[in-house]
Formats: sequence, C-alpha cells, structure tokens
Amino acid sequence: MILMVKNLSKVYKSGTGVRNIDFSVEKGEILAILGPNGAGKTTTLKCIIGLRKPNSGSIVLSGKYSYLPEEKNLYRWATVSQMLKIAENYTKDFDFEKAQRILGDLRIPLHEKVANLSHGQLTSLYLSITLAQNADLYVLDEPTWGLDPLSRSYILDEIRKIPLDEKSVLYTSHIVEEVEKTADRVIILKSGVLVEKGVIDEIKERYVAIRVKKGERMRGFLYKETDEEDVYIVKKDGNSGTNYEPASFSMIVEAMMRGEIG
Amino acid sequence: MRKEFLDMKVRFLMTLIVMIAIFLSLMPLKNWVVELLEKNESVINRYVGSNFVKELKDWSFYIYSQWFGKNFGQLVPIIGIIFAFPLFSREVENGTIEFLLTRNTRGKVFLSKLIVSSSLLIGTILLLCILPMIYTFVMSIRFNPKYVPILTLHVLVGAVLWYSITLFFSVAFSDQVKSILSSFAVLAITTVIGIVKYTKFMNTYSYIMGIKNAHALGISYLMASLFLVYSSWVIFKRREF
Repeated sequence: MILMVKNLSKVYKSGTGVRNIDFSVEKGEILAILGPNGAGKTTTLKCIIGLRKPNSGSIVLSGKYSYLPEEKNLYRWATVSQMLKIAENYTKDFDFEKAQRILGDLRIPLHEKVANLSHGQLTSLYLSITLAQNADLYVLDEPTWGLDPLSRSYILDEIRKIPLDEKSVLYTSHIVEEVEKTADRVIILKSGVLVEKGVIDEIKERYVAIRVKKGERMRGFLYKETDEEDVYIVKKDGNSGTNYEPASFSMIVEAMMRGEIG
Repeated sequence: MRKEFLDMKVRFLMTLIVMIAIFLSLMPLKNWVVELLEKNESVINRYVGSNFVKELKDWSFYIYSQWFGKNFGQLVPIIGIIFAFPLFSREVENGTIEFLLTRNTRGKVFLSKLIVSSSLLIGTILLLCILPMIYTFVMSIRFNPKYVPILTLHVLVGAVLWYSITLFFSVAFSDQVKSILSSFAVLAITTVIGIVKYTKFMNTYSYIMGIKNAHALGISYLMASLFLVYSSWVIFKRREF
C-alpha cells in the first residue's frame, strides 16, 4: 500500500470541505476521485500532500509523490525551456529528457514564454514536469482539463503506463467516461462526503436501472422520464424481484451527483 | 536558488541602476548647488547655519550630507521594502507556491528565498556605500572616508530591519499590494511617531542617516529583525496554501 487515508476531515469556516473520508491506494493502481465541483476532491489531495492541514484523521504516504495542481500556475516570465530547468533544479529525481519528449510529442515550443501559452499548452507543460518526476505516487488534480482530444488521449496513455513500473496514480476528474477507461478503482465524493468506492465493475453491479409505469413512485433516483414510463436508478439490494436492467457507470454517477439513490 | 535569482533579477538591477543614476547626477551638481546656495546665503544662514554653505564646498561634507544624509539615506528603507515585498506574496498570488512546496521542504523554500534576497540586498547596500569612494578615487577628488564604516553599518542595519518587516508582511499576506502597502504604512507611522522625544527610537531615519554611535539602538533593530524573520518562518511553516 502506498497511501492510507483514515477518517480525514477538513472543514473550512464556510462549512465546506470533506468529512470522514476513508480510502487507500495500492502499489501499481490507478485510483480516481470523482465528484462535482465543490465535492472536496482538491481539498482531499491538498491534505494528502501537506498543503492543507486536516482537522482530524490520519494520512500515511509511504514514498515520494509528484503533484499536478488544479490551477496550473507556472512562472510567466520564464520560457518553456527555462521552466524545465527550474523544475530540474527544484525537483529530486527529475528526468529532463522525459519532460522534453512529452513536450515534443504534444508540440509545445520550447522557446515560447509561459505567459504566451494557451490553457491547454500550460496544462501540457505542467504535466510534462509532473510526469518527468520519478515518484511512487502521482497525485494529479484534473490532469486533462482544457486539453484538446489528441493531447487528452496522449496524456491518458501516459497515465495508464505509470502502474507498469509498480507506481500508483491518484487523480481527480469529473469526466466519467475518462475515469471508466483509466481507473482501476474509484471513490465518489458529494458535498464533502464519500458516497461510494470500489472497482468500477463492482459499483456497476450494485446499481440497476428500473423502468416503471409513468407516475409510479419508488425509492431511488428518477433518472429519466418518457411519456409512458419512468426510469429509476436504484441499489440492487432489496430490488431482487423487480424487473431491472444494468445501469451504465455514467448513469450511476449522475444519479449520485444529482440525488440520493438507495 | 537560480530561480530565486532570476525572480529578483529585474528588481535588483533596476534598484542598482536607479541608485547609481541618482549618485552620478548628484556629483556634478555640487558646484551648481553651492552657487545657488551662495546666492541665497542670508536665508540659508538664518535657517540652516552660517557654516553650511562653506562646508558644502568640501567634497567630504557634500557626499556625507547629500548622499548618505539625504538621497541614499532616505531611500534605504524603501530599498529594503522593494527587495522583500514580493518574495512570498507573489508566489501565493500567482499560485506558484504550490510548485515550490510540492518539490522542496518548507524550510528549504524559505531559506533559499531568504539567502538569495538578503545577499542581494546586502551586496547592493554595500556597493552603494562604497560608491562615493570609488567615484572620488576615479575622479581624483579628495574625500575623507572617516565616517563611511559607521554609516555603512547604520545603513545596513536599517535596510535589514525594513527588509525583515516587509518579509513578515510578504509571508502573512496573499497579495503583493497588501504587503507593500503595509510596509509603507508602518514606515510612515513610525517616522511620524518618532518625531516625539520619548519615541524617537521609532524613527529609523535618524539612525540610518546618523553618525552618532548608537550601538544599543542598532542592536535593538537587529534583534527586532531576527524576531521578525523567525516569526515569518513560523507563519510560513504553519500556513495553509
């Protein structure tokens, strides 16, 4: 195990934050944290790497980490090439050539000033720096946000390669399809509370979509309405006798984000 | 540390260029200033003293009064403030503090910023203190450097004190404007309070531009600087980003 988080709570004065979060990351595993904006994903990551101090709970990180923040801020006065040198000076175990390779593959000009890069290019530069650091755990906050489809596909491939060296990834996203293709396990946060965790296929097994006659009420989340029927997402337990069909992962996550399901 | 130097390069060079320009514009003005004052000698004698114009003809007196006692001396606190105000507040404001803190320990980040900026500050101040000696040597002007060591000490202590005050604000605040405005506010308030006899020690200008032996005050300022640097470190160590 590379990371163990137990009963993590971090509540801000405004009342937002996270409460009693429990999860772990195994060696060679990709764990994704899913959740809408304000769910507490970034707070959780910042507590893990020490930028925020938890109110309670324990965090045990066994090894080195490399971090990609949600806001991709680098030194605007530097060129891309200078930024790589700064990163090399500041980072232990930094693979300069790997960073250059990623930048080359993503077609980021080395002589360009950081201030002139687009949001996507800046994310690519920060990702190249983060992935070039030799770490046991890669903590990535929204790694593909703002990337064009080709760059996103390239970066997701790079992330999927990380576990091949027995290294782990903990990353946040709110793009369900992307997480489904990339992560081994997920945890789902809503309003600072962990509402579901596990292997994606296991989560899919726990929920089903049930079609009922229009207007018929049942305990679950009303996912879709048509002229003749309503579709509910419900927990499989306790609905064994009902006529149900499998729910996709994105349906389950949407149901969790929008309302209570059970 | 290379990054810290690159970060400070513009401020360091601009400060140096401006101060050298002020010095070089001040020196050739000596004869013109003396002539101007001589034309108004009666007024000058009444308000400044009868010997002032006469003494001003002497290069040593001119340099001590117009460089150390006026132009450079007055700018020393401002130089200290300029070197310190963005050190941490700019990193927080621009969001780059996360880049630093996730690659190095807080101690290393704090120390590297402190070492580079304070070394450049001390280097700049020392250079500006010996500038009159270099100038007078090159121009073959007679200059008595008797008061240079004591003035250098005072100027250094003053610069370090204002650097430390601003460092504290730079760590405490998340934007550069707050840190620089707070420092200038403290400078203005302490200078005004220092007019009163019993709180004279608050006016750092009288120490920075003075040649009286004021070791107790100097040591107090240094102790205050050390306390402020340590407090800045404690805040930085505990602060959330």
